[in-house]
Amino acid sequence: MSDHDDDARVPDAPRVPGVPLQPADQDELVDGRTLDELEDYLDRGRTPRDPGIEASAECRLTLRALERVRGLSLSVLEDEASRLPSRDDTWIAGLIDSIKAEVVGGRDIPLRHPDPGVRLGVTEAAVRGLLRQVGDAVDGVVVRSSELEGDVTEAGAPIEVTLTMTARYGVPLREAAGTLRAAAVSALALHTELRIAAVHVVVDDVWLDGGGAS
Amino acid sequence: MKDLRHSWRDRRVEEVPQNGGRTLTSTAPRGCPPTRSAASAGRPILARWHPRRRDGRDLGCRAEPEEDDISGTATPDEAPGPDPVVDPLSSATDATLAVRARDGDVHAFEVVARRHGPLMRVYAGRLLGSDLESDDVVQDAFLTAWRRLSDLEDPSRLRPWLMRIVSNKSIDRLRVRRDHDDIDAHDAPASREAAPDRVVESRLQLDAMWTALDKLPLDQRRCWLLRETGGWSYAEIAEALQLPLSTVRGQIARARKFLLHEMEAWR
Repeated sequence: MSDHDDDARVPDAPRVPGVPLQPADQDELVDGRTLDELEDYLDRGRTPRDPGIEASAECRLTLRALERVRGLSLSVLEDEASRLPSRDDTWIAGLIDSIKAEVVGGRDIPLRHPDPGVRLGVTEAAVRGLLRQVGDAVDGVVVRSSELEGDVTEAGAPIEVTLTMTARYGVPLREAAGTLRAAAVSALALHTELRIAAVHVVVDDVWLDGGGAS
Repeated sequence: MKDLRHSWRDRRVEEVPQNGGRTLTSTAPRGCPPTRSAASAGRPILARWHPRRRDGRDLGCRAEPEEDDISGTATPDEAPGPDPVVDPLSSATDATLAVRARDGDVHAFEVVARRHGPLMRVYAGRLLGSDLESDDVVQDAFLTAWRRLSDLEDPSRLRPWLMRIVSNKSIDRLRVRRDHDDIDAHDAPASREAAPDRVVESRLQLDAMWTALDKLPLDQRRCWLLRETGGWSYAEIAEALQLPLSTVRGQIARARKFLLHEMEAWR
């Protein structure tokens, strides 16, 4: 789309057989402008304004038609996709299987066990998964990412947790962040033996309901 | 804590985080602990932490090898979840899903695949001129996307980024094909069911556009879609398809003229 090189056209590229109603291949000027020129102008967002083009009704009409076919190229694929029977599950299941095999556990976080012969622990990835799920349980909050700073592999080392969250529009942010923070603190206390020195919550986005899939 | 850990072991199959955890020893529990017992002990926030059900499908246990043991994996028709919980990610933005997936959340990536997979399949199908290979190409593309999530600079540009990967994978496939047999010659017309709601003008316009795209010779269509839908520059298309730049410009110019002509009635 950002291709702004010269608008030299191919001189008489060979005509492709089998195309019905193929319009003439030679340059068709629209009020003195080539289609390439008009398209480049569209690509530039019609800036800087070209008074010559904008003053020509014919050019404006062609610009609109160009915009339409370009826009339709994506919409028609989206439309087709939305009408596909949802037979997606097979390939998605295969995909998820492959991905699961690649999930990295991260650092190992030790847990005490009375039997000295047993080494017990959870992975960092599991703890981060826990933090995400804790966040998902708070209404209007989705945890985007989490970070455990400090040496989690060493029992008793002070750990600072940073949670980045997004909130549904309209949710009181201070309250939501506080609830998330409290939930994270209690979940970590319940399920790990990490010494949590701090839990920071960063709200970095707000979403509008129903705007997700767009 | 000791008792609690005990209970983890007993219930590990039922309740695990979606990205799962490796364990240090074989006796240790997998993943994270369950919380039903904790919930009944009066911890309200964790009370909702259980495998999320959507369409009756157990989505919370993705990382577990013992998945077969999980009761919720029946198809939606057979066993709708008794307590359907709305998946908070189903309405999450692409940016949120991308960041979460980058953070290791397999389920977030699954939502991405469900959301964008169909479009990617149609796109790949139209680039390749065949729907036969598009599933493969798209699955491969999503796998690559998962591995390269850290390269995605602007997570809100997830979809164009995915389309770019699908474009690349489709072209890789074309190259392989070229080395063997030219299937391009058999560009099958896209099978398409008649839409029931043909009264709507936009419906008709979309149908007209679909037909017009379908009538384009495959090489023109490919160049056109790569540029207009995939967002590639002329130079990128030329390089990927190993064609002279002038040929690519010519293909796109002809495609554009043809489409403008076909869609003239919709001005």
